[in-house]
Amino acid sequence: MYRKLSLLFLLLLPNLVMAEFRAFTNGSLKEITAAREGRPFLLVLWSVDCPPCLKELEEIGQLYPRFPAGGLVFISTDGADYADEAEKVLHQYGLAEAENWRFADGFPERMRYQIDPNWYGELPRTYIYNSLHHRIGRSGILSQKLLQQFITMSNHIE
Amino acid sequence: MISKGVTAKWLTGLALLLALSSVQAAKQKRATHSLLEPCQKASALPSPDCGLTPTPAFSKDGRLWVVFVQNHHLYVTHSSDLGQHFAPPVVVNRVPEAIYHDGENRPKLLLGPQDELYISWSQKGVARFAGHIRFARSLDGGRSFSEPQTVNDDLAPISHRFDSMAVDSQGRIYIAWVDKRDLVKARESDKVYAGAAIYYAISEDQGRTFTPNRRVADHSCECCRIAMAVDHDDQIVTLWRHIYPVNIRDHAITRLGVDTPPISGQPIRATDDNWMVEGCPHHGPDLALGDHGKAHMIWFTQGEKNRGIVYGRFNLLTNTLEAEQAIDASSTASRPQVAAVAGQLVALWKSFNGIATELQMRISHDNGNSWSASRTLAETTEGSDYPLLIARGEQLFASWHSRSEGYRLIPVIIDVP
Repeated sequence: MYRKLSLLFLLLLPNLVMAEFRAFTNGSLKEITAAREGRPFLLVLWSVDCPPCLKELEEIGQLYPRFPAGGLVFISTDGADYADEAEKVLHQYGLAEAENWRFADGFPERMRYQIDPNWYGELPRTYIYNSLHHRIGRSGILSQKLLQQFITMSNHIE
Repeated sequence: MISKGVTAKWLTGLALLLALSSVQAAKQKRATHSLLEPCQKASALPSPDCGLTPTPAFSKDGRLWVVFVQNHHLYVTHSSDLGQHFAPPVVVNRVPEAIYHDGENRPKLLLGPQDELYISWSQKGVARFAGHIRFARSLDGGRSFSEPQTVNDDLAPISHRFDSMAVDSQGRIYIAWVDKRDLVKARESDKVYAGAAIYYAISEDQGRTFTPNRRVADHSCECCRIAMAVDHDDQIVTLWRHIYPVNIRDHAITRLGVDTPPISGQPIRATDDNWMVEGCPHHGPDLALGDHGKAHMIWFTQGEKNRGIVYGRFNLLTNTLEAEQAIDASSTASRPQVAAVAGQLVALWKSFNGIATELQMRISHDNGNSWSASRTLAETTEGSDYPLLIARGEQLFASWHSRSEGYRLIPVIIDVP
C-alpha cells in the first residue's frame, strides 16, 4: 500500500513541479473557449526563443492586474526541453499565475493548425476574441493602445 | 536422455536464433512500427533515428556522414549504403554540454578537400538567448574528434547563435552566425539598435585556429538561420533575414572573402516583400548557386508582395532580383530548401494537411523561370525536423528526420523533359 502511494506520488510529482503549464493538445482550444463562453479574451502565443515575444509579455505583465479574470490565456509553443526557461520568463513578468499552456506533443504543426490553419507560425501571435468569440489574429507585438482598449472593453462587459 | 553438451549446443543455437529474430524484428521495426516510444526511453542508444536534428554530408568515396544530438552530446556516424545501416556513432564532445537542437539552430557538418570532418554548433548558455559558437574536427576519418573550441571571441553570456558553415575549394572554413555584442554595446550607451549582427570567422589551418571575429553587417533578424554557398571564385555568398528600417524583415545578400570589410549602411537587398513585423519569423532562407553569377534563393515571407514560400533568382553581377515565383502560398508550408543539380533546380519544403506533414517538391528545368506542379515525396503523422537537400554528384536526396519514422534519406528523382 505504502509502495503504491509513493508510486502515485512519483507519478504526480512532475505535475506538481510544472503546475503552471497545462498541456496544449488536440481539443485544448475548445476547452479554452468553452471555459469563457460569452466573455472576451486574448489568446497569446509566444516562445522563449523569440525576443519580441518577451518584450510583449513584459508589457502585458505590467497591465496584468487590470485584466478581468480569464481574460488572458498564454500558450508557449516551446517543447518540454524549454519548460523551465518558459517558467522563469513567466515569473519574471508576473504572469506565472495566469492561465498558461504549453504545446505538448512534439508536433507543433498540428497544434498550430488546430489554433488557426491560416497562421504561418510567426510569433508573437495573438487572437483577440470578442464576447461572441469572433476573433481576429495579429502577428507581432500588440500595441499598448490595443491592450488598453481590450481591457476597457472587457471590463465594461464584465 | 540428452547430454549436457547437446543441451548447451541446443541452447546456444536457440540463443542465436532468438538473437537473429530480434535483429530481424529490429530491422522490420524500422519500417512498420513507430520509433516514437522506443526513442523516448532513457536507454535509447545514440542513433540518427533517435537523435535530434541529424544533419548529413557526403565524403568523396560516396559514404553518407551524419551528425546528430542526443543527451547533450553530438555524435557522428557514417553509412556505406545510403542510410540503410550506420556504423557505431562516435562522440564529438566528450564533456556533455547544452546544444541547440531545433531545426533552425542545428549542428552543421562539412567535409574538407581531404575529407576532414568539420562540425559546428551553437552551445546553449544559461542566460536567456545566450550561446557560443563551437567547433570540432576530425582528421582521422571520424575515428576521433578534437576538443571543441569556441569560435566567437566575445565571450559575454549573450547571443552568439545560429551558426552556418562553408568550406571553399582551398579548404578555408567559414563560420558565420547571429551575434548580439553590438546590441549590448548600443544599450550600454542608451542607443537603439534593431536586431542583432552577422559575424564571421575563418580558419586557414583545417580548423586548428580561427581568425578574430569580423562583423558582416549590423541589424540582422535575431533568430533565423543563415544560408551560405561557395561561388566559383571561392567567395562565400551569404543570405540572411535582415531588418531594414523600420522592422521590415526581408533578406540581405553579400559575398564574403578572406578580408571582407564590414558593410557600412544598408546591405544589398535580395528580397523586397516588405514584410513589416516586430516579431520572430524563426524561418531563415536557403541558397544554391548556378552559373553566371546566379543565386537561387528560397525563403518564407508574409510581405505585401508575396506570402508563403517564394523562389527568387538574384543576379550577383548586377545585384538585381531577376525572377520570382510563388512556390507554395499556403499557410502550412514551411522550411524551404533549394538545390541546383545538373542544370535543374529543386525546391523542397514541408506542408501540413491537417493530419500529416508532407514533404513537397517542385522542379524547374529553365533556371527558375517556371516550376513543375508539386509532388509529395514523403509524409509523417508525427512531429518532424526540417528537411534538407543533399547531393552526391548528380544524385539528389532529401534528408529528413521524423519522430515516428526516424532518419530517412530519400532519393529525389529529377525527370528531365
